[in-house]
This record gives sequence, structure tokens and C-alpha cells, in this order.
Amino acid sequence: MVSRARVAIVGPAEFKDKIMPAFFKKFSTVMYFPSESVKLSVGKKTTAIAGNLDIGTFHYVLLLPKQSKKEFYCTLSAILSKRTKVSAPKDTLLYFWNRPAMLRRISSAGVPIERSASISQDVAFNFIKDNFKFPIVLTTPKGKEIRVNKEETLKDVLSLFSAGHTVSIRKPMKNAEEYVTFVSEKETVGFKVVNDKKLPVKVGSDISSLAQKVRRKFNLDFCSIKFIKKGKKICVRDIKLVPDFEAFFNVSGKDVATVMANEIIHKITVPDISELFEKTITGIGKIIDKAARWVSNEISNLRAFK
Amino acid sequence: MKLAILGPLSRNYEEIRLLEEGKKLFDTVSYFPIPQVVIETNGKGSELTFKNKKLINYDVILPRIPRTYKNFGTSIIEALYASGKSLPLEPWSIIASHNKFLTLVRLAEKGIPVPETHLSLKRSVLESVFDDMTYPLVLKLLYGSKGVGVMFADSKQSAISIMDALERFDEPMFVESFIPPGNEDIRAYVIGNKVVASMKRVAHEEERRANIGMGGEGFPYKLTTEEKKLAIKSAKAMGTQICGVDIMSSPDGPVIIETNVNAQFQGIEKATKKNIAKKILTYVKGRVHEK
Repeated sequence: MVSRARVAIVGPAEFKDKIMPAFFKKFSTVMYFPSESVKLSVGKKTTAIAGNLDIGTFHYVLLLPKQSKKEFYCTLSAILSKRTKVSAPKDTLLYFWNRPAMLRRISSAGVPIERSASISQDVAFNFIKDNFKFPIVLTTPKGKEIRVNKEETLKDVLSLFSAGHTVSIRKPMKNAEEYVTFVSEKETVGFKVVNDKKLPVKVGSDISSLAQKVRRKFNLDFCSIKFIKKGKKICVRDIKLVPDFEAFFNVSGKDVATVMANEIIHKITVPDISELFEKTITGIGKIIDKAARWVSNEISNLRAFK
Repeated sequence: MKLAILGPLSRNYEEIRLLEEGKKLFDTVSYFPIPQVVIETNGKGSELTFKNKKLINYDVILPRIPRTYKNFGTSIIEALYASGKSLPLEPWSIIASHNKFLTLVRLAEKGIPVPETHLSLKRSVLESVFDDMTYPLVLKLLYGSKGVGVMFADSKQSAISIMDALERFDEPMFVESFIPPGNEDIRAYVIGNKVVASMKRVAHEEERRANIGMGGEGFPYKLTTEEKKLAIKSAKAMGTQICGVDIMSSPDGPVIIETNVNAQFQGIEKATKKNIAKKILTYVKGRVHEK
């Protein structure tokens, strides 16, 4: 069954072909708006327009934000949230790519995280030298992880960070398994990464329940979470807003775009047209009836007066 | 009572003044350079330290977070806020305030008049507004301070050229309507529910930007009741109790151009002869007593 709900998707052009086929099957009206095509306006009216279409008039807007354009998506979400349902709220996007803030929030949801330190790039070299033994893993503001085995390479690695940027530091976890999950309200799917190889896996209830806690904490409809598991100990390493569509499909056979489309259908209530028509006719009927009674009363009054 | 000032590595006039006044009002005053603060995160939360001093142990924390450190500064403020520390601003206000367009959206949401402004990632998308707006136009990148990054286009051709150049930065860019006469604006300094000082800034002869950093000059100015109300409302809308609010007078009344959670006060102290540093510290100290 195809839903009459109107769905808009805003993201980089490269995601369009990965997601639209699944959405075309589920929605009679679904449009993909590359982020570069969107114009935001404020002043006379606050709107988000692409072409001549007001994105705020869609029943649901799925955002596929890229970190490099985070300010744009944050502003877009702020505008759209006032008028329609959005997959990621502005309050989440404000902090989402701020790693220390993100980790702290995950921890506050009662979900374990790896121990890490964050410091500004300007002073990172001496701090790391004085407080850590190699090897260490550095995470850039964009979420890229770099393993540093010795002090000699540390300076070179740190020069890749811009001044003032946050450097997150942790120790590598030996013999740990990595799980990459896609989380929606009703489902958690995932695969395992072993020696850089991706393997299909059924996500256990231990990981699934933690994944849902994280998703709810950030108030997201969808997200992708990376877990690290060592023995019985599980912790969150990273969270992304856009899943790796291809990886999930190729490894686990799951089309996460279809999962998204199926869940979005249940998030939207679109009034039935025949129901609307019936209500309108009934309403008009009542008005006519009321008018007729008034006329009849007035005529009676006039006759009585005569 | 212990005061911690969280500021840039290299202290500006404002940080120096705050330290000066702080020593008169507090028992202990410490300066925490933002880039040297370490945030350690584990299952129990976050701990913030600088040279083994814990930030959480201070009664009053006054953030002075410049744009360069807005992300790291937000991490620090967010962790402090989550630990229950009382601060004169909410963590999101740092990021929001440094995003000029998001600021306007936030103000407009609260019914505060802002200039007509359009934003996009591509010049071609904005071209449609070049015919509808009145020239000159004001063109900006999302970030910038002290007037840097603000350009003026006197014609459509000029607007297209400037936007083509800005597009190379691969950042969102926006076009804003010009409010005449354009070479002056009003800066209101809000602390708590009061405007403690205000000045009119007039641009240098060959400039359109009135910022003091661009050579503009400040003169004491008495706000109208409406301007005062708008300034206070704007600071509140941006989640901060200490704020510089920039106002311009349009034919339809005052319009808010910008808010600044890390507002400088050298210019306004000089123009109005008011001790803004002392007012800030008296206010934040008073907040702790209230609690």
C-alpha cells in the first residue's frame, strides 16, 4: 500500500540514489532536495524553499546531514521543526558533532562509553606526551580515527587538526569486537567488523537495548551507532546520523532505506480524503439547517406580530 | 568566593579588565585558558581541569569564548551545565550566537524584528532574490566578528561577483537587506534584565561597517523604550544573560541585526565611561547569592 503522505528528504546529492528507490515504493509523493538547492529565509517569513516548493508543507522531512554542512542543517531543522515533523531536531544537531558533548550525553543516558580525554589542538602535543603511553587513538572533529604508535609521528598527525579544534584521545581497546548498528524506533540491525572485514550478525538484546537508549536520548528517529564489545562489556564508540546504506545491504541484506520508509509511514497521520469530504458536507448541511430554522422562526414571529 | 574566568589563551582588554575587577570582588580569581582545559569523559560524566585545578570547584564561572574556540568552549560549558553549575548562558547559545543566520531565525521565532535575509550553499539559488531586494545588499558568511566577512553589493552584477568569490569557501552564505543609512548602528550591552550601557557606533568616513574594530567610533546613546525592550528580549531569546545586541533603526522601527555572547566592551566603556567589567562581575556574583 502506498501512503498519501508527502515526504521530503534533504541531503547531499550522492545519497539520492541510495534512498529514493525504497521511498518511491512507499509514498506517492516523495522528493529529494539536495542541500545545495535549498534557500532559507527569515524576516518577512521564515521558510525553507527548494525550487518553488516550501519544504515545511511536507508531512515529514528526513534529514541526511553531512558534518561539513552542520550549521546549515541545524538552521534548516530549526526552521522546519516549527511546521512539520523532522527526523533530527535542532537541539540535537547543535551538539551532535561536538564529541565531548556527545559522549557525555550518551553517558548520562546510562550507556557506557570508552574513557577519553579531549583537549584543544594547540596544546595537545605536550598534554599527550605527559599523560599517555603509546599507542593512542586520536579522533578528529569529523570523527576520523587515527592510531598513533609513537611520539615521532604525533606532531605530524596533530598538524592535520586546525588550531582550536578538539582532539579526542583514547587508548586502543585490544581484542574488542566492533558492531555497527542502524537504529530506528522498531528495529536495530547491524554487522560486525573483524580485522576490517564486515560480517553479518544478529544484534543481541544487550546491544539493541543500549542502542535504543542512545537514540531516545538524542531524540532521533534514526541513527547509526558503533559499539565496542569486549567480553560482556559493551560501550558506545561513535554515533552517526546517516547510515552506510550500502554496507548494511551488502553485509546484512537489510535495506535500511526501506526500514526508514516503513517507520516514517507510521509517524504521519494524513486525513482520509473521503472522511474530509464527508465532514465538509455534514458541516454545510448543519449550517443550512440552522439557517432554515432561523428563517422559519422569523416568519412565525412576523405572523404572530400581525 | 572563587571566580574562574574561562577565556582565550591570549588575554584581550576584556579579560584583563575582568581579572582586575574580579580581584576586588572575589576572594580568589583564576584564569582558565580554554585551549588548556582538559575534558575527561568516562561513565561518571565529564571532569574539567586545568593544571590540576578543577573548574567545578569554583563558585562563579564566567565564560569568554571567542569564535575560534566555539566548539571546544561549548563542550566545556555543556559539561558544566550538566553538572548543575549555574552559568550566565546556556550551552547552545554559544553555537547559536556564532551562527548569524540561526540567530536571526531564533529572534524571529520570538517575534523580534530582523532584516529580511536569505541563505544558501549556492550562489545560483540566491540569485532569485537579487531582483526582489533593494540595493545595496549586505552579503555575509555565516561566521564573522568585528565586521569581518561583511560585504556590500551596490548592484546585481556586484552581488553575483561577490557571491561567486564567497562560494569558494564552501560555506553557507547569505544576503541581507540593507537598512539605511547603513553606516551607523546601536550597541546595547545587556546584563540580566537590564541594558547597562548603550552607544551609537558610526563608521569611519570611507567605511560602511560601524564596528569599532573597523575604525568606527562610539558615542553615548540613550535607547528608546522600544529599543531597550528589544535588546533585553533578544538576549533572553539567545539564552544568555550577558550580551551585546546590535540594533539598527529602520523606517518600520528598530531591527535586531546581531547578538554577541562574547561581546567586547572596550569601546562601550570608553564611550560611556561605565565600568562594564564591574557590572558583569557584580551580576554573576549576585546570581550565586540568590541561589
